[in-house]
Amino acid sequence: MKIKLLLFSGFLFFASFFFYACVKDDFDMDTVTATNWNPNGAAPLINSDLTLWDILKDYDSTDLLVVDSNQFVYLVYEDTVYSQSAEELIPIGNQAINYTSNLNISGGPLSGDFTTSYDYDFDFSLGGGIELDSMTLKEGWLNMVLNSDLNYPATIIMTIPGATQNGVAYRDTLNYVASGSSINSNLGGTKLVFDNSIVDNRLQVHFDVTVHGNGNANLSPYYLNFDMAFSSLRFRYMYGYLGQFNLNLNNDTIGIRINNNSLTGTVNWEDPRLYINVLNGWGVPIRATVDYMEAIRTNAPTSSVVISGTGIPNPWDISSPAAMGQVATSGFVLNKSNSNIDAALNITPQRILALVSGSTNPNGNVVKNFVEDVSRMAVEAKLELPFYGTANGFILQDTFDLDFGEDLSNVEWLLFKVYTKNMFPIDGDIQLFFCDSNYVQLDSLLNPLEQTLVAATPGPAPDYIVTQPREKTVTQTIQGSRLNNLEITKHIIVRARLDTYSSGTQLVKIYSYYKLGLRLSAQVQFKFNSNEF
Amino acid sequence: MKKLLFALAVVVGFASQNIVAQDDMIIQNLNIVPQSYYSNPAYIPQCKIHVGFPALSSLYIAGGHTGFNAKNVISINVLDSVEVDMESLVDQLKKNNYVFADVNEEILSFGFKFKEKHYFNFALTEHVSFRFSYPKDLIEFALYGNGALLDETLDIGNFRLNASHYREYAFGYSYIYDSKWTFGTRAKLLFGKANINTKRSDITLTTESTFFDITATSDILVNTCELNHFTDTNYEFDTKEYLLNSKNFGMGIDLGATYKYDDKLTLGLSVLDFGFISWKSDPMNLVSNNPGGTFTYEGVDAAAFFADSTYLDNALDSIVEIFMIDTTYTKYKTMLNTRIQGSAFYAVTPKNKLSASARIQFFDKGIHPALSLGYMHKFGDIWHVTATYSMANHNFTNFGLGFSLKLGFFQLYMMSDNIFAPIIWNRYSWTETRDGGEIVDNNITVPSNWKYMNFHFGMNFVFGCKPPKDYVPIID
Repeated sequence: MKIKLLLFSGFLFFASFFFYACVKDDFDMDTVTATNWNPNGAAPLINSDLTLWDILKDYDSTDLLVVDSNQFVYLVYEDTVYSQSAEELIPIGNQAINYTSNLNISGGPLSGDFTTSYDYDFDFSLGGGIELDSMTLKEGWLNMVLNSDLNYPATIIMTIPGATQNGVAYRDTLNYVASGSSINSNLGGTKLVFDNSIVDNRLQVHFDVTVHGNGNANLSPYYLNFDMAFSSLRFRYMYGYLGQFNLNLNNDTIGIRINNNSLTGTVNWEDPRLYINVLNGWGVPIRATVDYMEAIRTNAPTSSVVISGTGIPNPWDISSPAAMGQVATSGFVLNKSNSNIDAALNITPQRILALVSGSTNPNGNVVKNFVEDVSRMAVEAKLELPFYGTANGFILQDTFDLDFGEDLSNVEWLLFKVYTKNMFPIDGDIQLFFCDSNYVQLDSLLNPLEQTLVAATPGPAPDYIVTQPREKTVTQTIQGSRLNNLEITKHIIVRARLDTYSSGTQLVKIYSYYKLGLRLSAQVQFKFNSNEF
Repeated sequence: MKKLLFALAVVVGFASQNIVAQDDMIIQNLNIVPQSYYSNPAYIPQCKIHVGFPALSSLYIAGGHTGFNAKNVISINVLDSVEVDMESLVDQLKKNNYVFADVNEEILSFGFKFKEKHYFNFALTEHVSFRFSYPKDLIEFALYGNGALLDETLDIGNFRLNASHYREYAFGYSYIYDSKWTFGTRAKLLFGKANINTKRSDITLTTESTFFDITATSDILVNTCELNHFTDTNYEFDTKEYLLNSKNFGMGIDLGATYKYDDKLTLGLSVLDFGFISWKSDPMNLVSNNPGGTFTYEGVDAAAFFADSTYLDNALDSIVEIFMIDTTYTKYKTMLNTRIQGSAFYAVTPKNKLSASARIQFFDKGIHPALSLGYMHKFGDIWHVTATYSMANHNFTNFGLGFSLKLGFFQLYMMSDNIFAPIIWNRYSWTETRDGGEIVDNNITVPSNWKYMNFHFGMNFVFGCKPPKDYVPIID
């Protein structure tokens, strides 16, 4: 019995382990002390292999990089600085004439028909000494009003032999019933052939008048007043001598946008070329004069250089096409050997101004001219800058909006890592300035003493080809009070000082396969406290 | 908010020693309990006949969390304030950490000896297991950030959810070959009811230290069975159909042997749960569109970004293409949680016995070892008690207790591998201000250092418990 009691007691003891529990500690979670959480984040931001196209895109999106067969790169700025159509050059004004004649009908009251005729000369009044042989109209109207005291109805047939439509002489009929009767004819497609034998630009007009007697009293003499007008004339073709007109070709400039963001420094283009080409679609001799060419730097410090040299022809006779529809090209090119274009470009100008004037038929009426309404005379300027030369202290600057956020209190430090793999023979000191909303510089990102971009070594002349890129990694940490500057940063100014290899003393060439490998990475050390949640 | 987080940490961290087991190690010390042959089919129970109490012959419940527990993370400092030590939390974690639960419910069982050398047994058991693993790397990633873990491949997506419910029909046979050797086997017919199996969940993140390039890989294959129904909002669960589902057939086997070195020392070796289940009814597979796909983010290509307005969209499309998850409906197979166990028993006296056992499990492409030392004392044939000390997966503080009480034909047993941990509890309390200004006191009470607990309980009817000494290898 005792044994069974002992066993039962032991069983309860063991069983109690399975069902009994006690609370050891009480934790008042309302007294939890702050716990820090300090994660660290790292990520790449930018990874690009930038070609010259990519680098210049921001500045020169509308311009052209050209590559020759050796992959050598040219920067080409091309602009049409003047363009005018023949229609714009030669406006044809309204032409009007007024003739009055007497009409005598013999006898008493007229009961049958009475006929008579009149011939008049219609002389076009055109400025500039224009002497037209013919002119084909694409638009135009002929209006004729007959004012008279004739008390009989009449039929007036107007014929202009020099005006043909589809090869048939112009002919129109006016039915007179009372003074002021008129006709209005569309002259579209009409070819006017002028008789210049006696007076320039003359058209002959013939009127056949038939008076229809109706028994009314004969009140002769009567007057007949023919009031004629050519209006809204627009030509399609014009032949003859088109006179002398002055041309002002100074309407535009060439923008050199690669220099738009340059602050200072010099760029020595070894082989710059400025082409001035005239494309003449007018069958008219033109003599031009290059009055003035100037490279202008508008960025501070402002400066300018007048472009001069033997390469500028003065006077400059512009070729004209031999037949309608053709275009004759005349041009000249300025380079280092025939001008100071290299010196002009050394100041990193933002634009080149060209003042060119000219006149048509400089030798007078010695050759026949022809024009089509749409034929144009255009002056094109092309600045060709082969990437061949040196640069020293060439500083580019641009500004971007940037906002890090107003509260960086949870950031302990911020690390930026910039890696470049440079195949360009260009050294670069790049700096990023953090600015407030008023563009006041608050801080800068990189150590100013540490060069960011190291030039690759160019090969020997004449090709100067780079074979080995240069790598550089720059790391910068921003922490402490410098982070406060980032909180009020609203803009970032990126400034790059560029020198070609060996401080801009050695000639370099840029090829299309050169790349700038750029990697930007960031690491952030955060600091959070549990009380913030 | 912080209190809620802490409470959550307490709840999640409430468990374990790093054992991920499907049965207890302590039971092998109580050979008078017929269910001791779960650990080695060559073990022949002491009693000639046993019949399990229907539905109560063996109920095994286990649960735990192999990661951190509240004690590791929350403490009281000298100012009487509660401190949360996140560093300690991370330090407690292993590469993969498990939250798990197992329930094995024996519905029917019986066994009997035949001509002293043969032992036959049968058991019908329902097995339910749940195991969810999460990677330490993810916690480190969240706590320290990728910038602090440069050049390390972070296995942040290694979330593996494996859960099964299957029915086991086990037919056991043991044979006493001679005075030294005994062999045994249990053949199992398995019928799966429901399953979710994460075969692959490899999402890695690597941040290299030079430019901080971030490389992500993804390879996911999650199989489910009988869960696709629940994506249909009109689906109505049919309990009868579920329980009688026999389409997911599997087989398994236990093999074991014991060697009686001398009258005091007996050695045993067993291979348990070697088998598989084919899941065929209503399978659904979530699989990576591009298994093993890799994406490396090296930064934005500034030139392309400014040149092409669709650059970012295209990049995102590429990422989606790599990490897209497809759904398929293909049958699949899962292996059982195979275990190999070796044991040694030394009879110090007829009533006192020492034991040592080692067990290794295979899952998640890893070997998970456990070691147990035990002592058993017999108070006659009525009351047997045992105590164990276990080490498993680098956890060394597991003390177990168990007993068997036989009153006539009736046998009751109860045991646990980790008896102390659930006894000592901590209470975590906080106040909460609700809408309207009402202040409410909240608290949660969880075991202080309880990372794992199991509990095994059962009742049998046993007959003929006086075996011939010469033919029983382990028991006295």
